[in-house]
Order: sequence, then C-alpha cells, then structure tokens
Amino acid sequence: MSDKSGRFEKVIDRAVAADYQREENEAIKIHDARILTAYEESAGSQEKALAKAIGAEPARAIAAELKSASEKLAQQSAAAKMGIRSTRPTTRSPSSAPRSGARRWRSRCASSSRGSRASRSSIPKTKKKALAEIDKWAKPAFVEGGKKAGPYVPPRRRSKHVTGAPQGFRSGHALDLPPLSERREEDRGRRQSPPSSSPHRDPGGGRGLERGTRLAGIDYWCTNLTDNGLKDMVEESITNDIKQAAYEKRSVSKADLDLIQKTEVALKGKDPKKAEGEEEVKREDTMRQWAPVAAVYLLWVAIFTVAQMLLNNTTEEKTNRVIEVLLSSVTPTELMFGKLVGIAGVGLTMVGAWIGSFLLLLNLCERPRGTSRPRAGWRRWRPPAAGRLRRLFHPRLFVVCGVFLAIREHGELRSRRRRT
Amino acid sequence: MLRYVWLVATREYAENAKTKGFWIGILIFPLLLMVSMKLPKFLEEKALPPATTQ
Repeated sequence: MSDKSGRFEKVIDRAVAADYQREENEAIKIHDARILTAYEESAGSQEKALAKAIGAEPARAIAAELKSASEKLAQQSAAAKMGIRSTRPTTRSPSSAPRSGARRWRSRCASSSRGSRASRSSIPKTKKKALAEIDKWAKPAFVEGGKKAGPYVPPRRRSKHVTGAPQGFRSGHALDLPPLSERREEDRGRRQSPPSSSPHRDPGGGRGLERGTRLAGIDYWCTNLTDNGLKDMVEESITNDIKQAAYEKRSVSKADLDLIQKTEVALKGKDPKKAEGEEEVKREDTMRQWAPVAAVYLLWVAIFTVAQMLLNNTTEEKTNRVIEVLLSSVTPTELMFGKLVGIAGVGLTMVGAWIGSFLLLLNLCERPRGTSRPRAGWRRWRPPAAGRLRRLFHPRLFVVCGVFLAIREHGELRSRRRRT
Repeated sequence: MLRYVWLVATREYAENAKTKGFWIGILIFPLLLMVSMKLPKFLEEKALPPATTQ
C-alpha cells in the first residue's frame, strides 16, 4: 500500500487489521466446526461400543451426559469467539515481519512455538481452554498435529504501509517489489498520471466523491491479483472516511447516521388461503411452488432421452437385420407398438429412479447433524392435491388420443383395402 | 395382437435394461445432483487460506 497523501494512514491500517481479523475468525470457525464434527462422529461409534460392552441403557445415559457436556463446550467456544471479535486486532509493523516467508498452514498449526506471537496473544484464555477441552474429547486423528495442536492460526497478511515520500523497500520483503521510487517512475511513464505534488488533504472537499473516483497518490500494489479481499476492505475503509468527512461537514453525527442506517424493514410472507395461526409461508410451500418447474424440466429431459433411445433402438435393429427376423413372426404395427411400450417402460423406470433418488437425497440432506430422526424433508412435504394429478388425465387428452388413433386406423384400413 | 405387442415390449425392456447406457443414465443424474449440492459446501470447508508469496 502506498499512500503519498499521508491522509489515510490510520484508515488503511484499520482496514488491513480488519481483513486479517476476518480471516482469523473464519479459520477459527472452521477449526471449531471440524473438531465438533469429529467429536460427534467418534461419540456415535463409542456409544455403540459401550452398548456392546455394558448394555444399551447405561451406554445411552453416558452418551447423553457427554453430549450435554459437549454442547456446553460449544457455547463456551462461541462466547470465546465473541471475545476475540471484540478485541482490537494488532497490526504487524513491517520490521517485525518474519523472514522465513510462506509456510504451509498445516505446519503452522503443528508448530506451537514458531507460531506468530502477536496473534496468539489476541486469543483469550477462555477460548484456549475450550479448545483444549474439545481436543481432549475428539479423536487425536481428527485434530491437526495431534495433541500439541493449538488453535489454528492462519498466516498473516504482510502489508507495508508507506506514508509520505517513498523510503524504499527493505530488500527481501515478502512482497519482493523493487524499491518504490523505481516503480513510481515506471508507473508515471506508463500511465502519464499527473505527479502528485500537492497531496490531497481533503479529497472530497467535504462534498463526497462520485462513484468509482480514483484518488491520486494512493495505490494498491499486490502480487496476488485474484485476491480482492484486502483491496475491497481498504477501499471501503477509505470510502467510509471520506463519507464521514462529508457528513461532518453537514454536521450530522456518526451515531445518528448509524442509527438511521440500521433501519431495515422485513416482511414475512403470509398466505391468505391458509387456516388462521399458520398462514406463514414455510419451506414446504416454497417447494410445492417449485415442484411444477422441476417436473417440467424432468419431463423435458425424459422426452429427449427416451426419444433418442427409441430412435437409436429402431435404427440399430434395422441395420442389424434383426428386424427382419422379428417381422417374420409379428406384424409391423405390433412390433412398433411393442417397441413404444417397451421404451416407454424403460423411460418411466429411469425417471422413477431419478425421482426416488432425489427424494432420498432430500431426506438425507435435511437430516440435522447429530440426530438420527429426520426433522424435516420430503416426509413432511405432501404432494400436490389429487385434483392436480387428475388434471393430467383430462378427458381432452383421451379425445386427442382417440382422434390420432382413428386417423391411423383409417389409413391402415385404406392401405389394406388397396392391397386386397 | 396384444399378446405379441406385450412380447415385443418385454423383449425391448429387457434388451434395454441390459445395456450399459441405461444404468449409466440412471446413476449419473442423482450423482450430478448430489455433487452440485455437496461440492460447494465441501470446498468451503476444505478451503485453504491463501498462500502468501515470497
């Protein structure tokens, strides 16, 4: 990060710190979830083994006890997480950046002594304790690095914040850029950007800036072009700062503004057709709403697949001369009808298998973790009313089919008459 | 006539059910569905933090 204006030093620092904090929180969350899952899995198998050894009843009691204890631990760790969030993150100054460079995160987990001290100290003691407790419960195989594994500490972002005139990078820096002065010359030649001789003290002039405005003198240099997290954070931070300046100029206090910005209206969908007390639109209703769409899509896929199958089948037998053998014992009409019915059966089997597997999958996915009984899913979802199914076999359909059959029979009769 | 139709139909069904394509067709749809449902979640859990470049 290079900021020639020197105005946004604190703002950028805050953004970098916040981005780092966000990453750390994410990592800790994932770590916790993994350990809890591992614990649950191991608890299930342990309960079975216990039941075998001492009978089902005491084993269940022990399992329940263990479960309540683990829930308590989860609450503790959640509380600890809140504690982390509220602590002010410490940013690393460039001079204390480690020389060793990138290490794989796994080794970082395993090595407790080489982990970064600053971030370790930002984890409160309760959190450490909770994690240690969970570590004891989980199988060692699931915890990275075995018993010695401390809480997962992600690699830090290296950032260098240059204020004022460029002083040049220390060689061997993590970003490994050429000295800033050289880059600056290069850049100026490339883009013909105006020299930022007059640093912007108040870029918006307290009026705010237009969307997408570039500030002269502030650049974001990075080697990883795909990772926009930090850049977005810095952008947001600077934007907020400029906004705040504009608000202050209009003598709107930040507290008032925050209060106003918090306004959010939420509407709950309700169905007037439903009975009183349960008008709220639930998940099943949404599913019922979307079921026809899925059915249409399924029909489309099925028609294309089955038609293709029928065509392939017919042409294959024609080229094989199998059809001639068959035609010696059945009439063409019978053969074609038989083919239609057979392939229709195949298609129906396929679609039936798809629907069945979909329902099964839905049932499996809906099952909440740690319980054996499905709480929600297709069992609670009732199919649409029978009336809608009856509409599928509407009399009109039979009339149309009859007309087609009549036309066909008529043609057949005529051709037979011609033959005789 | 119906008897022959039925015979041809059962033969067709059996012939089709024997083919590889039929079973692949049956299996691939739920597999795709499951992968599309589970993969994002799985990747999210497996995600490594961005490696720092030296």
